[in-house]
This record gives sequence, C-alpha cells and structure tokens, in this order.
Amino acid sequence: MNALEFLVVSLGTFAALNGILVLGLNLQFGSTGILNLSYFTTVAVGAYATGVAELPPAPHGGLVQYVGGFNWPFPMAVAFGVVIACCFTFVLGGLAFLRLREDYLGLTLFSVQAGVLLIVTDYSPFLDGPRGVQGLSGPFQDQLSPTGFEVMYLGLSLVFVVATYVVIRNLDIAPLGRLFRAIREDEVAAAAVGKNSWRVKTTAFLFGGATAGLGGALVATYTGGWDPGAWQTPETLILLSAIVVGGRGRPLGALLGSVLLIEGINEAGLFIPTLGDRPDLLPALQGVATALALFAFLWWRPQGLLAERPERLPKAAVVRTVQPTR
Amino acid sequence: MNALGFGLVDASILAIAALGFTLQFGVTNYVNFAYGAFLTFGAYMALAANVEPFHLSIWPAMLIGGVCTAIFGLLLNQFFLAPFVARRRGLIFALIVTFTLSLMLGDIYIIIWGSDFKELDYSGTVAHEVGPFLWSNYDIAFMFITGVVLLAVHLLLTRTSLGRSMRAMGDDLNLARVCGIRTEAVVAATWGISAFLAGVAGVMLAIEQRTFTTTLGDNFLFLILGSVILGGIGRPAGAVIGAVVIGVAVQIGVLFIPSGLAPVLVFVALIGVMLLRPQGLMGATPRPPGQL
Repeated sequence: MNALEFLVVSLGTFAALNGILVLGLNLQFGSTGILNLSYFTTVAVGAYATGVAELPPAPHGGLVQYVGGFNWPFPMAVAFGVVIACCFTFVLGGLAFLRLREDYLGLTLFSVQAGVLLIVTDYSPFLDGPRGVQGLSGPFQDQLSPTGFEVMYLGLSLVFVVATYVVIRNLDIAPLGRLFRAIREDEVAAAAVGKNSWRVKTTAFLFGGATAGLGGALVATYTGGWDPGAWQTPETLILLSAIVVGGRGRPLGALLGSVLLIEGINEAGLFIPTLGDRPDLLPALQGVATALALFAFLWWRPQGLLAERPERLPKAAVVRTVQPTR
Repeated sequence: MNALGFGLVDASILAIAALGFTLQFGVTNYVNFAYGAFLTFGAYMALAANVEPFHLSIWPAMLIGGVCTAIFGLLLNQFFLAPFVARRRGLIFALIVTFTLSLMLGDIYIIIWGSDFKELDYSGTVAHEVGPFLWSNYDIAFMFITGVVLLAVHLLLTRTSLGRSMRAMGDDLNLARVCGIRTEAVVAATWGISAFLAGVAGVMLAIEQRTFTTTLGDNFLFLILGSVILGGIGRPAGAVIGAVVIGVAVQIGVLFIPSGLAPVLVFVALIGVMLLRPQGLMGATPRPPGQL
C-alpha cells in the first residue's frame, strides 16, 4: 500500500470512529438537550480503561506508572472500557441531574471536564500523566502486516459505526426516542404527564456514554495509545459543531456533520504545508474555522443541514375538534 | 501557617476574578465560558504595555491590561453576544456560544502571539515577614488591590444607580424593565466591569506564575467556577467567600495530598454543593434559568 492509499484508508477509519463519537453526543445533546461539555472526558474514560485492561501491569519502580494492567485480550478490554465509561456516566449524570438546573448543569459538566483533565495530567501515578497509556494494540495486530492491520481496522470501524447507527436510529424512532425529545422540548410538560425526567435523562446519558466509551476504546487501540493531548477541551467542541452543522438530533445528520466538518477541516490540514516556522498556526486556524462554522449555523440555520423530521402522530391520536351545534 | 498566608494571596486573585464572573452572570443570566480568555487577554495587553513596545512599569501596565480587556468585553458584547442572544433566545445557545468563543479566542491568541511562554517585566520581589505569614511585596500589593477592588464594587452595587440596576436585573429581568431600567445599557456596562476585573486578575496571575501562555486563564477558570458555585452564582459576596475558601483550602490541602490531586479538593466542594445545597452558600439569584 503506498502512502496515498494508506492516507485514504486511515481517513476512512477515523471518519468511522469519529462517527461513533458524534452519534453518542448527538443522543445526549441533539435528541435530549443535555449540553454535555464533558463528553470527551467519557471518551477518555473508555480509552484509558481499555488501555489499562489490555496492558500488562506497570513495572514496579519504573518510569511508567498506571493503575490496572490486566493483560486482557482485545474484546474483553474494549468491553471493560465501555462498562467503566457507563459507570462514570452513571455517577456523573445521576448526581448532576438530581438537583441541578440547566445552567448549573452546564457549569458542573464543564468543571468536571476541566478538573479531571488537570488531575490526570498532573498526577502521574494514576494514568502516567502527560505520557498516558502507550503500547496498545488492536485485534490480531501481531499477526497482520501493517497494511493488513489498517485494512482490517477500517472494516472493524465500519462494522461498529454501522451497528451503532442502527441501534441509535432504532432508539430514535422508538417511544424512548420520543421521550428524549419530549424532555428536550419541555421538561415541565413531560413531568406533568408523569414522565420521570431523571430516569429519561440518565438513560439518554448512559446510552451516549456507552457509545463514547466504545469510540474511545476503538480509537485508543487503533492509534496505539491515549494521552491527555487527545482529550483536551476543544475536542467536545468539534463534535458539537458537527452535530449543529450536520443536523441536530438526527443521527444521519450528525454523521454528515462529522464527515464534513471533522474530515473536511481537520484532515484537509494534511494537504496544507506547514506555514513557515509556526507549526502551531495550522491547528489554530482549523480551530477558528470550526468555531466559525458553528457560529454561522447557529445564526442562520440552527437545525443543521439535515433537519429533524417533524413528528407524525398516528391518525387516531389526533383530536378532532367538535363542531359547535346551533 | 505559611500555607494559610499563600492561600490568602491566591484567594485575593481568585476573589477579583470570581467577582467579575459572578457580576456578569447575575445581570445576563448565562455563563461566560470565555471568561478565562478574558484573563489571558488582560495579561497579553499588559505584556504589550510593559515589555514591547511601551516599556511601562508593571502597575500602569496592570491598569492598562484591565482597561483594554474592559473595552474588549464591551465590544464583544455589543457586536457579538447581545445580537446572538437577541436572535437565538435560549440558554443552550448562549452556553454553546460562550463555550465556542473561549476556544476560538484561545486559537486567535495563538495566531497573534504564538504559543511560546511570555514573561512580564517587573523588578525583584522582596520577602517580608508579617506576623506569622511570609509574603513578598507583590503578594501584599495584590491583597491591597483586592481590598480596594472589593470596596469599589461594594460601593458601586450599593450607592450607584448602575449598581442598583444590576441588582434589580439579577432579581427579575422583566420587573426591572417595567421599572424603566435600560437593560441593554446595564448589560453593556456589566460586561465592561466584568472584563476589567478579569483583565486585572489575569495580570496578577501572570505575575504570580512568572511565565504564561495562551492557556493562562483556562486553567484558572476551574478554580473560579469552583468559587462561584460554592458561593452561590450571581452573588458577589458569595464569590468572595467562595474564593477565600477555595484559595485557602487548596494551599492547605497540598500540604497533605500530592499537588497533582489539588483539583480533587475543588471537586469535593462541588459535589458537596451539588448534593447538599445546589444554590451555593449565599443562595442563587432568583431569576429562572431561561430568562435571558
């Protein structure tokens, strides 16, 4: 495989993996209206958990330190990552949704994201600080050639993203999906007809969190490692932009936004040569471009490119107005 | 005992920053996630005044940093934030906008100033022993400035009509409008004041940390948020109390736990507030969350 083929394959894999990530946040934010600014922290939880499950125990007194180290095979490690991400999501969401109103919720989730990033980066005994967990491997990595591994992982990612899309789409058109949107549109009204908003929000949060954990696990084993550089604050913003641009609430729209925005802006940078002696300039410009796209859509078309279809109620549910008799 | 002294210095910087944050929230009723970027802006403005090209002393540079940030905040509100809030009414939009703004500003700072470490130019620090505490001359100056600022803000809120209008808007936006308060003007003024305080705090932070980059305010924002959530968002007194608690707690806490785990203390405070008293120590402002 030459360099160009390699680029195309890896772009495709990242597109699929980003698709998984964006589907999860779309469920939490797009469908249910929870502005989860700590989404990428959940992704990181899944990635780190998978990492420490897959790696052997850290050598005593060595330079590399991390908790765990179970030496599990790939499927078990990924499953572990998803489970830990769900636990984290449950604790975070369950606590937060209990007592916090909208703006405090946004504030708290943002603080959690900032604080966890600080702790993991500065406290090395936990997850090896700035270096993170390294040396992860995907399935059959030692048996395949590098080319074979890339192609296999592309297939694996596509399978996962399609499966995730199917699950989330079915959730979306099911009564549970309607519940999510009901909470998003008017929480008080939903409570008035007897829907437990804590349960609905926590359920949406959990599904989104599981997806986040899965995405994180797959990205970490694909790239071979995971460190704080991979989950800084702007990462959630990129996903958020993809959702707003592509189509808020609609899974297909989120995927479209992900391809356009993430692949378009971020990967387009691969084709632009490094500008002079400022290697930091290009990522900064990409960040500004992403932000401007988000602002533009919020200003002119907040529902995104692929807007949500209006709800269609079955005929019998429509109340007929009674004609007044004279 | 020294830790308590250092905690008070941290708390001074934190108090100014938290005060600016909470004043703005009290009036506009949405969180400014880009507040950290305001602190950073102040530091870079002071850098331009202090180092290149104006070579002023650090104290006028601090004032200039504050004033420039105030102007920046006013312009931002006038041409960006207020129109956005008017066009897309809804708390979620406001939160997304300020969150996005914080990251975009960080990138713009990198484009303009680069991501290398900068340093302000100030003459040597001298240590003084004041009672049981060990402070440098800059530490003492910061606490003095904070005292002045707190007094000034208190007088503003209690003795001026602007301050009364700010407090009125914090209680009930519609009632304030009905009473004839020009809410857009008050919002604009509040952004100016909030940004000024952020700028000053940013310069102080840059002095205390010696070197800084474009992420100066972002890392500090975590402590600011902890302080205002603890104290009660929208409540100026709460912001100051929260700042003192967080500032002192972190300095004393790192005597017992590894310094990398210091944010855990803030988390403990946050979780405690969440579970026991979500409105914070001083209680929340009465305005409902959606009322922008």
